[in-house]
Amino acid sequence: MKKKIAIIEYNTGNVSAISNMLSKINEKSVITSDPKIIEDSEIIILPGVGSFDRAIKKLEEKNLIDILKLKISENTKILGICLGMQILTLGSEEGDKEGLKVFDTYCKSFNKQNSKDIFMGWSNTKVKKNEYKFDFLNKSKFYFLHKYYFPYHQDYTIAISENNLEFSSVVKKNNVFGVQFHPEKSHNFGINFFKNFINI
Amino acid sequence: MIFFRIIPILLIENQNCIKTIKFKKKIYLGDPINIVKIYSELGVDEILINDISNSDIPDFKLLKQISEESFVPLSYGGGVKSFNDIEKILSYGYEKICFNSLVFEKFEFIEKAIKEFGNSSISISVNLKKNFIKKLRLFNNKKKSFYNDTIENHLEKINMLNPSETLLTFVDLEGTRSGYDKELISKYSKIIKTNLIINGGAKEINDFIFLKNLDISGGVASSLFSFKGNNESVLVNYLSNEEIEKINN
Repeated sequence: MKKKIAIIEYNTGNVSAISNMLSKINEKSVITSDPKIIEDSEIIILPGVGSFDRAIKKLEEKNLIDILKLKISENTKILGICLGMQILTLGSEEGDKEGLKVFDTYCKSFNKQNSKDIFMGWSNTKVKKNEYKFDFLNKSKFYFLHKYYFPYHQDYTIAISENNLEFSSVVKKNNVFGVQFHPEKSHNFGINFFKNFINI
Repeated sequence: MIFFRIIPILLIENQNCIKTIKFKKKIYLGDPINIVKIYSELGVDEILINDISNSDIPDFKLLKQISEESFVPLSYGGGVKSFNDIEKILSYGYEKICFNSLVFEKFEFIEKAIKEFGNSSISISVNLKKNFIKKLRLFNNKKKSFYNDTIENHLEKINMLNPSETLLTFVDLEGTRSGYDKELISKYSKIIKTNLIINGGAKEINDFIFLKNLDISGGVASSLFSFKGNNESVLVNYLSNEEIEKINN
């Protein structure tokens, strides 16, 4: 049986690229902001492009905070992409709003003095946790575009990437996953990522 | 680490993909949806799309159709004037919206857009062209005229805005495949503090290696990836994996 996949639509970009890539691997998904459909789904993908406060504001406007928190507490498999991952933390240097508090950490800003403060382009990922199912990340490269980062965290970080400092590029807590890169824009590596994620 | 990006650029006019030479002579290349599909299948690092039609608004329908064919990052510029436009195009799956003339005309709008959509969603493009006394100036491609500001001032303004990247196009070399103006690139790359990508004149992979050694983020090209041999036959192509490895090592 195919899993029911919901891609959350909250006016912060990127939704069609994700559903297009999922259909490429024969997975059906719905793009939705309807709490009923979200409640009924088995996998939730939370995208995000833009700024931290704007993303939270849009989730609030669409009354999506409660249903997302409910699904998180029910242990539904969730994937936050880019800003969609960052808003699962406590908050960010980028804004004043509170995050969804799955990950007990704050997002920080890259420092312009020693690195480009916007990390953009293709980078590899290095697995930090000894879990065989993530091995494919060591042989992948993905597309990144971000200014704020999820710091390395002993409990959550599955894989890191580097912009002079090591930051989290894949994180996990129970059934909640987050990726800093854009698998939906990372052609074959992205396709491979989604295949692995759905089957984990 | 981040890899050097090699980026095909597509110019669209009235729903056709065209190739210009020095932004003037135009050659028809084909259907943009189809060309994006091919580039995406070739696994290019990113695609820049620039609509140069004389229209007041972006061609949203076409932009949506294009993005549905792409599994690689997309950047779009042309006719974007409002937050609504930006939001719509980002929602189609474009990563970055690129501005050029509005940076001169409505600086405050760009400042606000960067605040609203985040630095990483906005990029800025600058055209440089020599005037009749061979002095390099800021060029307005739509109006075919020069701006009064000095290049240095304008680039400092962009540094202040801190967009995701700056695209510098050398108009006199655009479409010529005659190699980069290395002196000018070295000069301006020292001023620009954002990610920088260069367009105009790319001829061979050594050009890209030159950019990479200057710590420039990427090279943009269209002729190089549009034609086979001389400018006569259209063949959408990209670098081989070996060539890409050579650049990144």
